[in-house]
Amino acid sequence: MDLRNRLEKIESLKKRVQQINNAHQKKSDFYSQTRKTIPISEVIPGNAIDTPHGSCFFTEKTFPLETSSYGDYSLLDMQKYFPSGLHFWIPQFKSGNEEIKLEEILFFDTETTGLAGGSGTYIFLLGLGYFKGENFYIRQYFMSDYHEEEALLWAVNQLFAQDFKLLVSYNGKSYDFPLLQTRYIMTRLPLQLNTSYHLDLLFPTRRLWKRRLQDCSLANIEKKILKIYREEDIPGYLIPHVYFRYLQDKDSRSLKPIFTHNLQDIISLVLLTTKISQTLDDPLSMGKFALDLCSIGKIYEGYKDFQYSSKCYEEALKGNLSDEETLDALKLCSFAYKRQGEWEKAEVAWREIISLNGQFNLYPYEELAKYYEHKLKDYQQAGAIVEEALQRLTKENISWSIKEQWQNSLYFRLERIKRKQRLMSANSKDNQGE
Amino acid sequence: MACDVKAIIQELEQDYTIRPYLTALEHIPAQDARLNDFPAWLHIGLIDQLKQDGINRLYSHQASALQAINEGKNVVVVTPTASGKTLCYNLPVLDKIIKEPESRAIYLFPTKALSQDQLGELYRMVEALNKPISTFTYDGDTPVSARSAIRNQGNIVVTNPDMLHTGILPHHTKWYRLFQNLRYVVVDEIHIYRGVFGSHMANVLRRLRRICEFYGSKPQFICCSATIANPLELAEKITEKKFTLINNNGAPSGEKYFLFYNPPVVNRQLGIRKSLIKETASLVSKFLNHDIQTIVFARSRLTTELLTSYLKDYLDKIGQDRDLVRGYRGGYLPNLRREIEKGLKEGLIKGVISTNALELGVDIGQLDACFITGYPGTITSTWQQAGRAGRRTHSSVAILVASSVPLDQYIINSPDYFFKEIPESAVIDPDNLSILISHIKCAAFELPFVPEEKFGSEELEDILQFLEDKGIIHFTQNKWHWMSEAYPADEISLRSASTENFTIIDIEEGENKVIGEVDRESASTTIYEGAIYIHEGEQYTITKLDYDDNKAYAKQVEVNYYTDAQVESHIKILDVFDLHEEENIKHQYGEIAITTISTMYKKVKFYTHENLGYGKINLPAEDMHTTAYWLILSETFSNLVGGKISKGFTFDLAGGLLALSNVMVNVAPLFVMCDPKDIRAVAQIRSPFTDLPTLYIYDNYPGGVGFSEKIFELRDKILVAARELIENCGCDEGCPSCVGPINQVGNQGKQSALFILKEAIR
Repeated sequence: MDLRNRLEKIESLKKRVQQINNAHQKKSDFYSQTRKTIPISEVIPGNAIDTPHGSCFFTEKTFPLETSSYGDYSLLDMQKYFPSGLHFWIPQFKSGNEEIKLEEILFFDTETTGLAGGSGTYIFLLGLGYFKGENFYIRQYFMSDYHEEEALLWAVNQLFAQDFKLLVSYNGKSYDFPLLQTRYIMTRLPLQLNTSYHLDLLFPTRRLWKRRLQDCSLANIEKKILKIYREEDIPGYLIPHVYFRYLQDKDSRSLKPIFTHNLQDIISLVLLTTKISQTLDDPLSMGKFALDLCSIGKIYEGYKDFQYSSKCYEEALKGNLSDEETLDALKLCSFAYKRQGEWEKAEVAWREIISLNGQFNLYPYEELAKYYEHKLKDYQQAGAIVEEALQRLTKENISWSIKEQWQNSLYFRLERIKRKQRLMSANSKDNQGE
Repeated sequence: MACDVKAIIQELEQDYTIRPYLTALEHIPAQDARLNDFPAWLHIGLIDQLKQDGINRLYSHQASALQAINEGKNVVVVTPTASGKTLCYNLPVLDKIIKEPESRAIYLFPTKALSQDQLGELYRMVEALNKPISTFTYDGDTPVSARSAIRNQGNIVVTNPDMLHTGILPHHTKWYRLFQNLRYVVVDEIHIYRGVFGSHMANVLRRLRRICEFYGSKPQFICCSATIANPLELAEKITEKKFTLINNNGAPSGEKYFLFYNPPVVNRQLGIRKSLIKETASLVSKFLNHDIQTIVFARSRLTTELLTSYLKDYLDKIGQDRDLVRGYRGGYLPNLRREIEKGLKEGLIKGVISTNALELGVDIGQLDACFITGYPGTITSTWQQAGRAGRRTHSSVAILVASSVPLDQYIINSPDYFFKEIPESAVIDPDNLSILISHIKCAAFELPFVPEEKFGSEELEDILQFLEDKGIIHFTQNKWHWMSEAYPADEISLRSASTENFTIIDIEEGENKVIGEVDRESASTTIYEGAIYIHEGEQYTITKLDYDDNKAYAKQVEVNYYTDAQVESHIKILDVFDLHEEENIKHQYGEIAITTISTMYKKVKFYTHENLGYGKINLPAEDMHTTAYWLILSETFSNLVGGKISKGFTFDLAGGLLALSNVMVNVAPLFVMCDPKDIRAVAQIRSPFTDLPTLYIYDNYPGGVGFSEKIFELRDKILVAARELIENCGCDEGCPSCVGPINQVGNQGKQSALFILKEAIR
């Protein structure tokens, strides 16, 4: 049997390939029109750019700032709020010495042949957005086949090499950027990006909204935060397949939604940057959602601004929170008070947590006991709160190993408090005796 | 200590209940050290370090290895266990890094446990040197946060082939500093890479070399091997480079005894021998009485656990601490394993019962005595296990206890074959199409292919063309590029076992404690609902098997039985690649689809092995496509069924076929150089596909690895050997040592199998 036949046989046996083929079939139904060779320039207005490494396709779109509005924002709003809060994400901006102009920001998003990463994943479409004068520009670089990759990367380098200071992406730190580095290594071209900073919006987005939304995919953030609803958007998971299909039949019509998708992603990067800046410009007035206020409080906490963070928590507690969320907010608030030395306020908060009667928590008792013992030196009260904790703990239905551990630490504390108490009363008797 | 070993051998020799069953008592004399001076080029810091450790000269093989490596040659070092072979690579590697600090090296060990051990030793050396040399382990346990540091700075990256295959090669751009400066690739325990694993390994190294070429580095290979017949050939086949063989072992060793023990026959007619496990337990207990630190190798997990509990019971009986004896096998979690390894080193543990997890060079120090229960399948492996016992200065002893399986009986009764013959060759087939294609996909993912490239000896362009037609790669401007979302390395496991493991959870421990792991293939025969699972000598019953979530839930119980699953197989012939027809028999080789299902299990009583009842197993069938050899008997045999052939012999087709399959599957591994569990046999008295009596032997590996093709080629030799084995067996009507037990093959099974063989081989 000849080699080719044997190969066919072995392959046909593999279930996995079968499954892939089935999935293939399903995906193919996405575009059912008859296929024919149509070059990209007939579908997307743009040109080939020539480079020392051959040519690739390039298109540029201009968005006048005044007139480009999406959801709650226009592209113009960026000027109003940026760079509020940037120092939270990039510490170098903390000092105020480092400044950044809108025109120094480069927005960046890629469309790739897979999500797996590794050297077999290619960037076939790379979108870059930047402000210049009255407009926002988006350039898209596209390789119409693998051999155009070097030209694409070379062409992109020409823009990279300009005076951009800040790169903005969504999940670019762990995905797009390492992939870009991989592509330059694979083609042995130097990556000539001069930006000093990379703002990956995924991180601020998570810190601001994960508490409320859980799902922090860009698609969900667009809907829930930016109020943008895409029409007929191509689902991200189909993109590699559509490109592979195009590679085989060169019918560029199917690529149009990918260009649109990429364009929209970059616009969303601008809007999201705007939204994040605005939120941190005046958080208390922005916080319609109590949970978001908690998240903002946490951000300020990380910045050691406990006064501001406790304000956020207080504001949050006025809002609409579930019992569990209230407990959480109270906890955050109580520790923010403690860090500021606002002991009376902290005491009230801990007392409130205990009175809320949720699931047993050791920390409010412990914090109160520490406060009474070490700060007030009121051993009477300190002992009483520990005993209260012990009493409640006996009734709690929790795993006994944890219970035992907690009980031990409480008994240990109680012993110490009683010892101190005895010592003090002995001292005071001595004093009286004199 | 030395006296004890000699004393106990004397005691065994004088014991009339043991003496008759010792089929060999080999004495291996002590060897003195052969030493050479340090080579002049070796960095003075390293020499000072060695001298501080009390090493003033090198063993002859270390000196030769260093010289060859310094001359730029690839070397393969073949010396016994504990002969200081790690210095053969650590010295040249460290020397290179001291002199050229950018240099990098990759160390490849076949198992994770092993790499941890080696790193410990390397760390000590590096620390003492006080030079900026960084060494790291990179495997599945490496924290994600530490990975980027390892990629950027690790001078020596210690890893295993699986991690190289899935984690490093597909992400080579992140490792470009390593690949640009790669000077050495160390492949330790290279003899482990045989069969499927070895064929994969050769392809992984093809990919490694391809990537090195991309970054412009040409690493030198240093391999180490246990004693096999063809270390040089294996190293050259796995790396596709020219090698120099270093085998002038200069390490000293104490004298050693090697005993063969064949448990006595209790029923001559049925050929039943005393239980291997009980016999071993009773011999080992003598060693424990003498306070001799002993390791016992068992062939399966079940035997490991049974022996452990028997010996623990023995310690109880004589009023000693049960924990003087411990079990040790793959399913144990790392912490427990570390604890046992430490106990052995410190002498707190007197006996350890292990599966072959300890066969490789895990650092437990050397023990006084080693029991090998059941022939491990190869001469190489037996010597390696025996090497676990052996002190530099004292006497030590290794004892092979035979089971009643045919291979064991052959070896135990032919000590010359074992002591005089050269050990086996390690056979690999890097161009096995199924394996080759898998790795060509991975390679295409890693770097685009160009038409003039070479990868293996098959026509690369045909394969690439084929993958292109399948839409997996795409050809443009003279290059094939990867065109799939898939990450191909994830789809291939280098070992025949799948990567998916089932965890076994003790439901009664407060925090759902994981007590062990079982691979997917074994799940349907070891952790079905109702199965008795033995862990550290304690019995658990499986209360629930969550097949989709890869979890089994267990509860501790105390019962007097163990469980044994019954497996059923259905076979479909998909294609015939080659055939050979004779008068009464047809031989074929091709592709089959086999469906295996476990339907029920037996409860077997401890010690007496009585059958106590049955239970149902409700598990999905496992499907596999693979290659097989099968022989088809002519209609003549079917027509003879029930017919009286000669006095007292009535032909039994079913029994004869089953008997023949039992013999074949045991004999074939000797000829095709595979592990007995790499092939399986199924006998059908009327196959739905051939319509005739058919006996299948198939590769127990998806896609096949070429064993059945070899069986087809060597069928005549194998059939002759099968006949000799049956004819030379002393039993009357069949026994487990030849055709299988009578209650399985029937009392006409042996004669019928012989009859078939005589008719078939003309």
